[in-house]
Amino acid sequence: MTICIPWPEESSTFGKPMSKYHFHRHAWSAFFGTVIAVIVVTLMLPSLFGFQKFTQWGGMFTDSWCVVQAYSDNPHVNPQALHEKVIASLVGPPITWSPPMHNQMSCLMWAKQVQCGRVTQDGWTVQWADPVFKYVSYYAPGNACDVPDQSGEWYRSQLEQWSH
Amino acid sequence: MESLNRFFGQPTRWIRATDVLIGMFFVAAAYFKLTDSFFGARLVPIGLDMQQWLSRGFPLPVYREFLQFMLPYADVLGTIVILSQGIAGLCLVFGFGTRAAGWLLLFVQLNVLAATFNGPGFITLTLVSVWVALYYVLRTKMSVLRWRFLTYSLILIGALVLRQRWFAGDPWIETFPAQRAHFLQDVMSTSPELKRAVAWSADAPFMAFVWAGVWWLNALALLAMCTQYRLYGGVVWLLIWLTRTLVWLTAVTGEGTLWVLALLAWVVYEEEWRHGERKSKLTP
Repeated sequence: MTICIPWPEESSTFGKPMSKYHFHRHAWSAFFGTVIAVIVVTLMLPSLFGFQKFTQWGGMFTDSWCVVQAYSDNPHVNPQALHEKVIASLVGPPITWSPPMHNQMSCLMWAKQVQCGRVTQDGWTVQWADPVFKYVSYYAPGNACDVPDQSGEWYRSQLEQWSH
Repeated sequence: MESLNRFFGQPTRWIRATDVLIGMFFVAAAYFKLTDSFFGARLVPIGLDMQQWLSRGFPLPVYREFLQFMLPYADVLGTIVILSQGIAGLCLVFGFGTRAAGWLLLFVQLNVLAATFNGPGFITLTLVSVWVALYYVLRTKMSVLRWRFLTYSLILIGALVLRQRWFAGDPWIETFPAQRAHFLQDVMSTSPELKRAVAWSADAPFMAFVWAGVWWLNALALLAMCTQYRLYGGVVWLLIWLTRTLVWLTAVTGEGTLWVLALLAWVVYEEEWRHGERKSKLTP
């Protein structure tokens, strides 16, 4: 089977010259097919193709989707550790679109790369981070700050730059 | 080969393809509300939402009393919303009763619109969903007047988004550093590699102009939508929303996807209207 790439001056598979009209229609079909393929692969069924799945297909904006319980120390060892609850949607100006939605992996990476090492307004440093996704503390008793760096750069903390 | 040519030679099939996509979107919306928000995990139970809308003055004045009356029956409302979106979505997927599906969606989305009319950040999403519902209501007996109405209403909703983004500082290069920082810290694209590529390109000195330029390009596309070049304006607008959704995925999420689907539906129908072999069926 050969695949025919339509071109105005060439013949179609039926041996008839392809008119400008038909070339035009084929071009539009190629455009629509490409856009629909991109939508299916990246927005509709991203997990099947190795892309990130959030709430893009039919989901809605939800506050508290990803929450990080930040501590100055291991709360399982030191109950007196200082504590701060950080909701992903409330961090840093400006919220240019809407509350950022997350999945479990992105919430963990956000806790690790944005929260760990951050100096809070009270002056203590976040040493232990417990990501909470849809009200479930799914990484406990682990510490997001111990996630190895080879997980890749997903987020880059900019809080100090913003405050200047 | 013949079947391939036949497929590509009949672009009316793209109208059907967009129906399937939009239907799948609303089925997913119903499923999301069932498992995550209204019931299931109850992340945003509709009763809590309604209370917040009332306390913050979101509903239209004429709708306020009705919403207060319905507050004890929030789960019933939630069930109606889920069933309506799910059934309408299935109708669109399987291609039967698309007009009835449009009426069903219109009923639900108009109620949501009335309940959240004064709420910032929610209105454009609701208006686009109302537009999609109207598209299916009006499509079966399309006329020049109806198509103009759909086109100009879509342009108006687009202008509303541009207005919101104007106040968010999108058109100006001064806001680029803060937006870039926000993107790097809070936002994830459809893949970390895509985000890394965008972040890398954002380091180039001229990128501030490109970021700000997208708003102006969008405005230009909307203006083109008012002229004989509206099909090309629609294509540019669609590509802007597609790119925006893929890059700012966690910040735009479902609204971005719905915009992409609505604009795809508009472009496919406009193209078919202009060039389609079945022009006589679409043109009054």
